[in-house]
Amino acid sequence: MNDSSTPPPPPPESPYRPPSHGEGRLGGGQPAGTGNLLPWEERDRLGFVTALVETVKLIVTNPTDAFSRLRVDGDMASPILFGVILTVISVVFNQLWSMLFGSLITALSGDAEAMAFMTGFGALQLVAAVAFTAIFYVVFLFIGAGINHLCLMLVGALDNSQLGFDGTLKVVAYSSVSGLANIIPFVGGIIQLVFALVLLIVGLAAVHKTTQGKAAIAVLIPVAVCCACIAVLFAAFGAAIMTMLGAAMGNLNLNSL
Amino acid sequence: MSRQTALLWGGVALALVALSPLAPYIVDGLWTCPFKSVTGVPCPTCGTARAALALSRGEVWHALTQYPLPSLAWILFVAGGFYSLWLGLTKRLPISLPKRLPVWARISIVVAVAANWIYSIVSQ
Repeated sequence: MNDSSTPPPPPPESPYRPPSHGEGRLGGGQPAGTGNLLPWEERDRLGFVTALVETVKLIVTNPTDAFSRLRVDGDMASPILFGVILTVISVVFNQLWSMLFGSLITALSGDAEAMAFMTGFGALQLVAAVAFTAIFYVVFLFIGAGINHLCLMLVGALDNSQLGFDGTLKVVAYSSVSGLANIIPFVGGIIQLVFALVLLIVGLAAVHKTTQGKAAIAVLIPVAVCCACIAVLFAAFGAAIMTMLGAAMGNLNLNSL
Repeated sequence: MSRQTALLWGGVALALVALSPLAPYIVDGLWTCPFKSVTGVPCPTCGTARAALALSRGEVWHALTQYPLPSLAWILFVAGGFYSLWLGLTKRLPISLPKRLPVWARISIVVAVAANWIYSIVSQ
């Protein structure tokens, strides 16, 4: 027979804690809008350009702090928009260097017709590259995040994760900052690849609350298995657009080149 | 996975199908596998682009027999995207991915990648 004066035991604590709209910072109780978010996610308050620049600076100088500020809620538009903008800037510089050095080479050859073609072709490439970048970026972002997330699941790096696949997608999107290395001609691509790997390792460790060792293994598995083919694939889609344009423009006689 | 992400996956799947006519141009623009260039042996994921090209042309059987694992991955990715899109549009619960794969699943993935690699070396 139960004693009615004895209070019933409290219900067991649910392991599931749904994200609250009041929460901003990952894993913390800070309400949104208090300044503990990424500057980009407070661009309404800071202004578009200021938020973009400050976020880039924060990710470059203190990536651990930057990635730990990611929102817990399901806002995917901000990181994807950020990634698209940074990738467009990267592609523009890539194309500009190609145009510049391509035009220099044809200028040295002294062929006016070829030079006019290169200049026009380069400008058309630039416009097409920017137009297609957003579409291809989102596609490759999702595929890349999916591969990284699968590798994280393989190495058991998600046991303490709150964000799951959304967190991986956000880290990959914000790691697009590495594309700014393309501002440097010739070696920018290599710097971009290395910087991207570093940002991914630090970001995934911070977001999923795992060790950088596990995050590094997860990031490097695709690189090792694919012998950097995937990294080359991401870096080369700009070249693919150039080839596509070349095929679409048909047979222009460049025998003098 | 949030509803936004589920819809995004669906959008990516739609984009892949819509852009499939451009696949021949994109594949032509890609770099040759550096591993194969140096060693003469295809890398574990060689054939991924060619599988996408074959699938974009509707040559499903050819893709599955020549590049089995990459073709299967592409098909599952696109099918999963359409399923996620349906879930998102009908406001059902989004897919919940496991945090950790069971041991049998991890072993299966490694074995599948290794078997596909051996198959691509033997059939080249």
